[in-house]
Amino acid sequence: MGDTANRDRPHGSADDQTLRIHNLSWAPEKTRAPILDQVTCSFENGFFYGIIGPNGSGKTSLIRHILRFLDVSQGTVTLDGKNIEEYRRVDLAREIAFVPQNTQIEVPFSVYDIIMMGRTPYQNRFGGTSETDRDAVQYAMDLTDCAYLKDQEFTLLSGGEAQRVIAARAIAQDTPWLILDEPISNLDIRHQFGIMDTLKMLNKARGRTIISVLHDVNLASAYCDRLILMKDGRIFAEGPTEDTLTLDNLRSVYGMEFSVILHPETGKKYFVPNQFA
Amino acid sequence: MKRERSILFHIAWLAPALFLCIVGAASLGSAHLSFFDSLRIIGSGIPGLHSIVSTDGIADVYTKIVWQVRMPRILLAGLVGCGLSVVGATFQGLFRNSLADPHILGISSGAAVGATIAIISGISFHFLGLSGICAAAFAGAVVTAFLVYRISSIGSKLPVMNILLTGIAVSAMFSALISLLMTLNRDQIDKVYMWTLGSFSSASKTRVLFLLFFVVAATAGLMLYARKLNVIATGDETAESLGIDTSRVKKVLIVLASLLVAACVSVSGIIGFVGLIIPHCTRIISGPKHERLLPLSCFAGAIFMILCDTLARTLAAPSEIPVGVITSVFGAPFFIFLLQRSKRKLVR
Repeated sequence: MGDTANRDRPHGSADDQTLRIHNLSWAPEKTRAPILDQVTCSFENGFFYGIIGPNGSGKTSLIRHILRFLDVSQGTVTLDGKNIEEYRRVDLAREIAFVPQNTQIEVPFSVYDIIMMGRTPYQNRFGGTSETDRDAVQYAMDLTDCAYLKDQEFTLLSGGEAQRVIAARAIAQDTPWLILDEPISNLDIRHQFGIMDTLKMLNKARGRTIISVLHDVNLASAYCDRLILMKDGRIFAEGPTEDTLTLDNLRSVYGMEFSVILHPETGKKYFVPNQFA
Repeated sequence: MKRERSILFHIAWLAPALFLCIVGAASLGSAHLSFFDSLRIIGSGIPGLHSIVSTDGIADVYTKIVWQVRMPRILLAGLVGCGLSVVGATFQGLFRNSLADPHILGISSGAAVGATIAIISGISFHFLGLSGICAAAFAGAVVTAFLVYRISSIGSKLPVMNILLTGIAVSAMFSALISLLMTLNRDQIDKVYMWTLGSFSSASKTRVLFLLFFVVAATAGLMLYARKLNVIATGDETAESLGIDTSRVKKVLIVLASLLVAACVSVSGIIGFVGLIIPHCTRIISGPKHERLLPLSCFAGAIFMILCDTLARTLAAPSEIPVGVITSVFGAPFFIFLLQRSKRKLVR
């Protein structure tokens, strides 16, 4: 586990711990227009990445390929130099944890049971839960403010509580990579910042690489080291947040005019759509 | 949510309850025995207890009735109840559908087609000591399971909706085929119809051993995947992101469960409702985790089926009521009662 990490080169050589996507194309049906069109990008270990772009730009499809929910039909996805198709699922689950957009679960498991499922990749058929498992679950609950929900039925939680519990499950999975698909869409503003702060902490203090699809440009601006802007199944821009999040890029990607205002106290940039006039 | 009790606690009362059911069921019938005589006869037949329990004063004929007539039937009913319940619980988790039951994949309809053809053609062969009808039903079920599986898989994936809809379609098709066969062979309608309603009247030691093998092997196999089933019940992709090869686990579970259904249906006909309600009832005490649900469903299913079959053969003696009628007539109100009492814990 990494301690406080250097921002630029957090973990040894970046070369051997990289998630590379090369020329990835995908269409749900052969006759339809591709959802992903020759996507090439890479995620280096130790950074906090945001993927932003309008609906239907291919953000979720990109993630689904990385997680092998979809077979890579054209192009390659490699993790640490090895093609992800060659990983056993259980080994991949020890590398990458995932927080999905849809957190609906119909079976009335308790919150604790759900979070404990994050430990599945480390458990065998018969063994019970180990001390490490229980510690990891407790740690994840503390970080996501879920401990008080522990004994409740997951199915009875509100959308935001459910999202935090699912985030806790991914944190309990204790992987170097954490991929999130709009993890804060159902959260109230306090918990939005709570989860983003937690992710930032996991990133900075424990060296986890975070890749998150986000819809809120300003949250992306505040938390992400690097951004990937997607449009029409392609990478429109990628790089350090300050370089990629420009008024020109936003206009091109979203087809909307934005203005920048500066926060009166911190002086940080805040992007406001001009429709707010 | 209350702290859950250990599974051993539940087995510690369910196992004796099952035993008492068996003893009670063995004492009832046209030749009436007292509960304690029944207990002594059964006790004396259990290896190891033979020297302690004596059957002095009980006529030999009763021992014969209990061990050769009633016990095979009781044990067969228990095993079928157990098998159908375990499969029901597995399918409900695997398909994430509270309405799933063992017959949902059309396997039972396939068995019925096999049995119908055997009945109508009047063939009489024996296979592994099983009657022609039974063997044909088993073959029909296995072929159907294979068919449904092949039709519904897309590449290496097995989408839940696909397999459910395929099962329902195949089931409808086979039901129609059976109706057609019955219409064309009116003299056999009675026999075919009674087969499909389900009965344990042709129980035999061979059938008990045949089914015992499948119940033990399949249940043990399903138990190996109980924890993975928990994760799959929360979603296929979630399970994949947690390192489970969902497609493979699904295939293994469907094959095991299908074989078990095939074996159950081939020896008893199509007994409805048990595989649907017993898992739901069991969840009240076991909770949703399959490593608890599956074994406890075994006991609950066995007890329920033995009770139902005992009613089936005694209520209107000397004639019999089809056991499938009993499972629904008595099971449905009981289920509705539980549903009302603990709405939250059952289907939502």
